[in-house]
Amino acid sequence: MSEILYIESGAMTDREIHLSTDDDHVPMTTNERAAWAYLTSVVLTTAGYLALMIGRLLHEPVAEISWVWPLVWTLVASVTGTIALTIVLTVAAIIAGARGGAGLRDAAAVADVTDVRDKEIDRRSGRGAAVVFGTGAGIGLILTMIDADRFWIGNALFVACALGAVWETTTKIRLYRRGF
Amino acid sequence: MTPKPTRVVNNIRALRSDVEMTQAELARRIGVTRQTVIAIEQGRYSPSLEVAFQIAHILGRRLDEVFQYRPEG
Repeated sequence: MSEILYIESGAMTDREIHLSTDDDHVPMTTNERAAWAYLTSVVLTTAGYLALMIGRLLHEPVAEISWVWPLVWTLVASVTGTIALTIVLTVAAIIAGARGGAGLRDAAAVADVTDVRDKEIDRRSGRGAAVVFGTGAGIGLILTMIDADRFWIGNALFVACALGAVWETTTKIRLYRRGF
Repeated sequence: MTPKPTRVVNNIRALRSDVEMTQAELARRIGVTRQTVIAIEQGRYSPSLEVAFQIAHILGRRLDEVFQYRPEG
């Protein structure tokens, strides 16, 4: 509740008026919003792509499966989906901040700030994701060495990237929610 | 309730109350988001030594009056 409402109600002392703002709604940080947007977009687009590929695997020989353009469109959809969701969540945060009593400009400024905790969370979540990416690259290398079909090489690398993204974003969200 | 991930506890909320300072004001003065101040107050994030000294300085207290370490057991 805003300070103004408390003042008008006359129900609280001056000291309570100051501290009442502590109970205002606190939006997610910029980084946490971006993590949610990235996670949602990656999970949805990857699930769609994998469903399509599994369907084709059941009915066509691997060498004849058309996978390159579906994969390209999946990557494009993932990136644009992340950007669009981030914009939607940021606008929602600004509107919520403005409704909470802050001016629109102040709400926009608050909704677009990162700090030392965000950087620390980025660093910690990036470490685990790098291990997943590295493992995927190793699997891709092994598949190349044994002359596996390009379908398996390309898709192994794609799945590794998707898993790395999921690992990174879920780690971020856990660190924001549970702390560290 | 989920156990707090840090053994560093603090009295920031009470000390802020003494000087009538909001979370938003403290966050602005130490250059972090309000979400970070909330995470520190709730024991979900241990600030760096520099930020801890900044908080103590702003609240007009010694560091050990603001933060305490609770060893296990």
